[in-house]
Amino acid sequence: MLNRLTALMILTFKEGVRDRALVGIGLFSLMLMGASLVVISLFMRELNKVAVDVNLSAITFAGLMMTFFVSINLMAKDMDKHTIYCVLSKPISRSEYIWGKFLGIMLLILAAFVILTGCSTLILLITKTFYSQWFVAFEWLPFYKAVYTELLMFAVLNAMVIFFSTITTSSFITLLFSLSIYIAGQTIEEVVLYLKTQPNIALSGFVETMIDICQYILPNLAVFDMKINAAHALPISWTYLACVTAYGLIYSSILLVSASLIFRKRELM
Amino acid sequence: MIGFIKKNNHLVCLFFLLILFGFLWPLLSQFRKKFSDISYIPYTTPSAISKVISLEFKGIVSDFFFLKMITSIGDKVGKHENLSKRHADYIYQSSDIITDLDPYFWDAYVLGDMTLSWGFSDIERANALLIKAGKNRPDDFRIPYYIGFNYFYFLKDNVSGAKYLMKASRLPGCPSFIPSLAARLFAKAHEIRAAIVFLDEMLKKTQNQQIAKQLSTRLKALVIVDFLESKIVEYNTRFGKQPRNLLELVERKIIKGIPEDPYGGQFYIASDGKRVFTTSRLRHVGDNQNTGM
Amino acid sequence: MLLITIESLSKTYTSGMMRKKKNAVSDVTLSIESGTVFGIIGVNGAGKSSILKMILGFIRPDAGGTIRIAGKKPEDPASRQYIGYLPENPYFYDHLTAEELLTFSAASSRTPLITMRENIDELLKQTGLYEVRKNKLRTYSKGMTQRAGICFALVHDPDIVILDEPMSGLDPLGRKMVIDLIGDLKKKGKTILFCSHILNDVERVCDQIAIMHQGQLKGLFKKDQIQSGIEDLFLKTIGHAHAE
Repeated sequence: MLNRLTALMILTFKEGVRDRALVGIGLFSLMLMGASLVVISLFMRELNKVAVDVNLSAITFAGLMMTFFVSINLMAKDMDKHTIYCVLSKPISRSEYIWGKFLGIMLLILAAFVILTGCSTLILLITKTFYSQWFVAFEWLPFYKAVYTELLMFAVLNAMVIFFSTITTSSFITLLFSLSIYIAGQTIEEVVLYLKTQPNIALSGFVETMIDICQYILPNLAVFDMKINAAHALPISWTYLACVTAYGLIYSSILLVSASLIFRKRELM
Repeated sequence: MIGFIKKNNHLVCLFFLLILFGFLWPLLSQFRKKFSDISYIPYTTPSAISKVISLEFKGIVSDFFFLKMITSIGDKVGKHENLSKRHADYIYQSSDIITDLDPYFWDAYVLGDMTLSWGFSDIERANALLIKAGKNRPDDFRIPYYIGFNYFYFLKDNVSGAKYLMKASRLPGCPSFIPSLAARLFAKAHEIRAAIVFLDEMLKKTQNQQIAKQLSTRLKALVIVDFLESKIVEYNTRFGKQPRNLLELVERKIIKGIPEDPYGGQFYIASDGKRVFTTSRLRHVGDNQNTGM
Repeated sequence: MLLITIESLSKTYTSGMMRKKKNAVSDVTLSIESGTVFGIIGVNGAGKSSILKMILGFIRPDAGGTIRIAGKKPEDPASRQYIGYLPENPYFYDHLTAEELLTFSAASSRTPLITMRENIDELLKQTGLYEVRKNKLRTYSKGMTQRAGICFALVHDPDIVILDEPMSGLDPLGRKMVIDLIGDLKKKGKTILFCSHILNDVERVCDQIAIMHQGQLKGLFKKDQIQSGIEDLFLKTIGHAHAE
């Protein structure tokens, strides 16, 4: 099983890594990071905050672009162009296919994260040297921890993409659904908090139950967003990190196992 | 010639289009400039909306809004334009939204506080921002220090001011001058010195050129006011009476001349005979706010 | 030894909002012995491809039909351990090279590393792709892609080779190459199942022929039963069906 998974993972990785879109996404992120070197001088004093904000946002942005364009494309092309036939004519089970694809995509995103975080580190080092006076409240550890939790977010999001690709036949619907889930997942916590703290918004019992259901079904992607903490060098505890790691892994696994169950029944015409 | 055009018709077309474009561009940008001069309104997006739509990019969105606030303040001051109440509303709302997006963004609190207090004497809202800051950064000594400063300097409420300064002095990292400042406040010492110390500390930590320039102008003016007031005291001790105007100081050779106001106004002695004010009210001449120190 | 057995196999596709039903395959029973070259012929839409896809487990047969490959069900991935498959109009990953594609094929079928490299090079040379093995598959012509697909199906040295329209898109030289390849495989004792609508090619290599029409199996013939030429036989079989 392991060699089949690795073979499929490498296949997916290689196919993805040569996508031209990656060059564009990478260049855009690097430009954004590079721009931070200049833009930063327009700010007042907390330059470390701005620098970290821009760098983490650039990394996240690249991840999002990869998820919504490269990952979805990798899944959709398999079905549309029937490349899946050549994979499934091998002794690869449907579940192995799902996991192999997921691992390949995650390897791709991990590679992008490693490269971009490396560039970020370099840029932060430069800014730190140039503006050392205004880089007081800055620490590396929260920065890397924030990158790590972001990576977990992408595990959940890409599991979501794979889940939707297995239940729909159109890559556009996959894009639409996963984008909606991403937006909902990032905001659900906030919206619920807002609705529940507004005394003048009276919620009927039904609506309240619906909100509760949404809260449990939708992934709470905001838990992976540690950018503000990193920007202000606020500590992110190891227990929190362990907790979100478990959350991310369990949530993605639930999605992938469900995707396998559905995909096993799917007819590939 | 015609042969050449026929052969390279696309090139010729492109050439003429580029020339036309070259003519059109300055015209268009002139129109746009007029348009933007008339209709430029700094706007804000309510937190309930901007917080939701900025997804996980709240940090960078707060940076963007903050940059917009800096440039809008800098633009108004740079053009020596009248600051209206609407602008004060914008500053307050903008700082509030920025710090909703990133509750730890100290610069946004400070810029909001400084602009509202010094620029609009809107101490109520300046303090509201600082109190919000205090909720999110409970261990930051600067917050009660700034609130205290607003109390005694702008609201002339030395008791409340001193109370906040004492609170500040109990927080980690508090510089040693604050407790003594609090003590002097209780003794009703003069506040100009405190303002100078306060501005000096601000200036040292500001990186943005434009804001640093504003701070240093204000600091310069206050140093002159402090200097003149000390000379009035000197005049009083030497001649046993208060001078009626600053020219008397020059006549008695206590000062060499009346210094220039960096804001372009004229210094004068207030009706109490002790304080020195300036016709510019520490704003660039042309500002028509009738509040100030 | 019976390698592939198919019993009362039917497939109904439902499509569209109206749940319109279409019988692609109805009640087909046949068995393929080890070491034979088995050809399924029929016009487009006769249900040939559907049968192959059911054998590979891409689509599921209607209730009642059974398929066994060396005793295993198609749902069991292990049933494909010794199968090589060439899809109709194969399309492979754009950005991979032929070499990488074949490496995947071999590795996922657990081919030992040493034989893997040898197999890949040998096949690439045999199909004339050796020179372009490091080029991306996107740059390949249709014929080259078809040949890459054949390599993909054969690289792990499978016992059963299933080819869906292997001749389509190939020039006469390419066709000869495929026919030679099938001959080679037969000599090695492999079982080959393929479908085609190019009758002459089928006649040249098949031991056994199944003729399909409108989803039904109209006739099963051994090679020695074909005397008057395959075209006649085919027309007679399906014409006979029309007459009924």
